[in-house]
Amino acid sequence: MKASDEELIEQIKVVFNDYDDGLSEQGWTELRKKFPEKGNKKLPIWWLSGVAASLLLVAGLYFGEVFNTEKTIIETVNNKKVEIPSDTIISSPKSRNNSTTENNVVAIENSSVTPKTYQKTNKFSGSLITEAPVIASNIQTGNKEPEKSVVAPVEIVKNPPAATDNGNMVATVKVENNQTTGITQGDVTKNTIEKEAPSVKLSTEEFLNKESQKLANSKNKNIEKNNTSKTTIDVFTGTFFNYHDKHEAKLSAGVGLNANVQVTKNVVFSFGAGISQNKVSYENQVPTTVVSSMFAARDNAMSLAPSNSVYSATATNDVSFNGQLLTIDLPMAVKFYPTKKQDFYISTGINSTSYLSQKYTYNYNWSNFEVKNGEAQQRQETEKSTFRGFDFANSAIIAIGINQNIGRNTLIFEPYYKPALGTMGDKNLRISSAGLNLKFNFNGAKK
Amino acid sequence: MREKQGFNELISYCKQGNLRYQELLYKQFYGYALGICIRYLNNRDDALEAANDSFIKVFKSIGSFNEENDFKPWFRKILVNTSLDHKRKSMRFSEALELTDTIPQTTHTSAIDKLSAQDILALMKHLNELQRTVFNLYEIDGYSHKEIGSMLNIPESSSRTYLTRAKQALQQLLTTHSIYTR
Repeated sequence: MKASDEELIEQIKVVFNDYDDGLSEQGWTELRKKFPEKGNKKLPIWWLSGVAASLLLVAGLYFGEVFNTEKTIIETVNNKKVEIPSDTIISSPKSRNNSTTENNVVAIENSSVTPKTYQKTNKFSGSLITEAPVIASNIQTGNKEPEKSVVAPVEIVKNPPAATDNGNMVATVKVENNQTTGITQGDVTKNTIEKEAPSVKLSTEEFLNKESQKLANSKNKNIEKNNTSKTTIDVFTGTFFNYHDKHEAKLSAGVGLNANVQVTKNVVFSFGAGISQNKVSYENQVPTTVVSSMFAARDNAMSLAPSNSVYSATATNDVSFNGQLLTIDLPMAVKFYPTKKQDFYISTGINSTSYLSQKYTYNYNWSNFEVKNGEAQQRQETEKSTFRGFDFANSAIIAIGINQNIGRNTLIFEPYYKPALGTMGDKNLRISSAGLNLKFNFNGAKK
Repeated sequence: MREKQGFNELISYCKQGNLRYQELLYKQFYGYALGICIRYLNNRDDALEAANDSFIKVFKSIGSFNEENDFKPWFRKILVNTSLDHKRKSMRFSEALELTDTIPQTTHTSAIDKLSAQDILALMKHLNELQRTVFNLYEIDGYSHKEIGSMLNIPESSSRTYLTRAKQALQQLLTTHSIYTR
């Protein structure tokens, strides 16, 4: 090759490597004519599917008899987080000097308080008030509620034990030198009740330091998590049909959480927990595992009949059996993303089940010559149990997930099939199911 | 390193179909894309159309792009293939200009390293389509004669011949018109 050739080739490479005519804006406008944003067109269809699935879930739960017949009272304790940065602690010598109240109890609203530190003059006493973010809670035993946070010179407070009372966090603060600068609307001190934790007593400074430490630790943990974690969380709702040979398929629903841990680039290990309501209904063909229970119920019913009943004339027919299981599902699955784009995956795994409640209803007709001249009567027997049983790997999971990106997060449509590997519940029902999970995957960490 | 991370983030957003980041990618590689397309199509409007079609292909298939690899070589392949497709579609296999035709006045510059894009494009117009395409593919974009043969559906030996003729023609142009006067 001649030198001139080489030079020309080099010059062509240099000149055309970044041939910018300054009309990129115009070029983009041209491109947009051919390439409209397609996300807006697609999303409503997906969202409608999501809404439909959610409605099914709500309807399924609403009409579930488990919720109609058995009321469970769940007590929850509202423990709201209180944030108190240590650097907001200030002292106010003036307020100490001008204070008059003894052993005042400080009460502040239960909800979390944004730390603020500022000073203002007490218009009643003329003392300089330091408002520090000392936290306590509403004490609702009195007629009046303190409407305003109470001020305390934190530096001089020694014994601010924290305790809980009826779900409300109560903190009391005692003032060492019998002085306080607490101001509430009205005479708050008369209407507040002092409660102290009997065992653990921390000084305010220790308490605040401890809280600050907790905050700092949690922040560090979050940062570490964002930097290193390849774990994402799915929230899912699912609607599905349970089925078994010769029984009527019933729509059921579930909801839960999944954690996904990336194992390799294309393989993700997924595990989680969910609550689901499973309904099965058998007409005329009662599963063999249930027959003995049903006959036991029938015999029990017959024993209530008059003592001279002719038992031999009793017969059963038109039997039916309904089961309602409120379960905790513990799925473990491996997801494989076959494409680089990772827009869908194939998942397989196992599901274990624990039971929150089980309810079995047997319906049958029986007749006895001694009762109503042998006319058939309808009988119903019900068996219930709660928090009983755990079946490991009682079903397999085979699923396909289709991902739809929404910002950094992902909406996943996951049709699945769960063939029975074992049995479910006290009655050893062998149930397979098929349905659709709608999952929302939170992916906070940047790739 | 930071630049690479930033670029990967840009690609990541483009994979999610974020239009704003697609626009950023477009503007960042607009010049690069146009520079390649115009060498093959020799016309700004055709080149822009091919470049835009290439970008659309990129946006649609960027999910398959692995961020660990360089973007430019991947994009270059798309640009070259799209340009060749446009050439085939338009069926504009125009005859080369006679060497006696006028060389643009801008080519009177004293040295090759002073040649502008317009000068080079003017020179290229004097090559026939196949010569120009083979020259671009082999010398500028680094394809082998075997690859060129399969891309243009011509024998490998023909590719060599077209390249030789293209170079001869360019050499003649440069000397005849005193472009190369060192």
